[in-house]
Amino acid sequence: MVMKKEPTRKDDGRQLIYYTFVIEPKDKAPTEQER
Amino acid sequence: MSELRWNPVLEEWIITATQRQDRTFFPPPEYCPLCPTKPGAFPTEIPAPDYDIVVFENKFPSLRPDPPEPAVEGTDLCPVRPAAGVCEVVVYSSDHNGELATMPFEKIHKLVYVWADRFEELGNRPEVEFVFLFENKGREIGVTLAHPHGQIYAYPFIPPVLERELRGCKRHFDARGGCLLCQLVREEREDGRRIVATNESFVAFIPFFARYPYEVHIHPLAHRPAITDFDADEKRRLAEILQTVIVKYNHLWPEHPSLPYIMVTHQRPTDAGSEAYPHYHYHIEFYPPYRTPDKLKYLAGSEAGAGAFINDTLAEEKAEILRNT
Repeated sequence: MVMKKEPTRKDDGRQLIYYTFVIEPKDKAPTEQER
Repeated sequence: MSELRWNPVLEEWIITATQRQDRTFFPPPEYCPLCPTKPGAFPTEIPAPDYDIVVFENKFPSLRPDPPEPAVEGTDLCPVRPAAGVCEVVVYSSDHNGELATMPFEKIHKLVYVWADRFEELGNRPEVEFVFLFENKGREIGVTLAHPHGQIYAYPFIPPVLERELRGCKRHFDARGGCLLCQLVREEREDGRRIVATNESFVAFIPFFARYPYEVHIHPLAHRPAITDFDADEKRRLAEILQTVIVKYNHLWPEHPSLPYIMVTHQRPTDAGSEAYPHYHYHIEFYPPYRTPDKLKYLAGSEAGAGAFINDTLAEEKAEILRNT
């Protein structure tokens, strides 16, 4: 999992952060068998 | 008006935040402030037309980075101080409907990474002593916005419950050596009756001393004082067991396909690194308010007035039910 964050400021000065992700094959949900 | 008022009897800070009386209360879906802003529609808190996970400073904060001076004067016994800190909202999805339990595993996995980032960034602020991540879910808990979200409070003090936990764990460490929470986890695993779920890195159980009928705690098997101490595999397994627990909650009773709960994260304070906390470690606690499908567990006289919880159920029985759900 690779996370990127994009901090911005709202008009009133409050911080707002957008998070985006790159999902790698090993990050996929476990199968029932793996559980 | 907003300030911290000291209670010298209980030795705790009370946050007054009168502006919160005016906060948005269950708006209709078309006026949800946590949805993406739509073209031509009213501006929400989030200008982007779509998003994955967004964090922003609460519009009605109890604590703020630039707090006003207290509106009242304190005394020697009852001092006041500015309500410095940060209150953030963590919006899980641009989709107004749904909840964490119905979202794909990848979403919960991403959220764990966001939590770790917020813990680190907010914990680095000089005025912050404790970063508290939590989710209030359901009207019964007092939620005022239906859009799926959690919250973060970065306090300028260590909150009373955490201070008490830290003190108890330090006392154990000094007297007997080792982390008390690690010892409790070992005992719960050896006993087994209160285990709800487990994986290679975490265990979920209803503690021996549970205060709520379906109070589940999630602990790492290894000693990890903070979420930032988890490696990539542990973060993935935390997301896995978290999903397992919240899905079990929703399957508990057909009357509550979306069971309300309070979910809180307890971890080390941010005044020092994890090496300073060999006696305390990370865990998540859930407090669902229902004791049966149609009965709420109220905090009444004994709980609210004396701090003495009465649990009408046995943790062993409720854990077996959740384990088999």
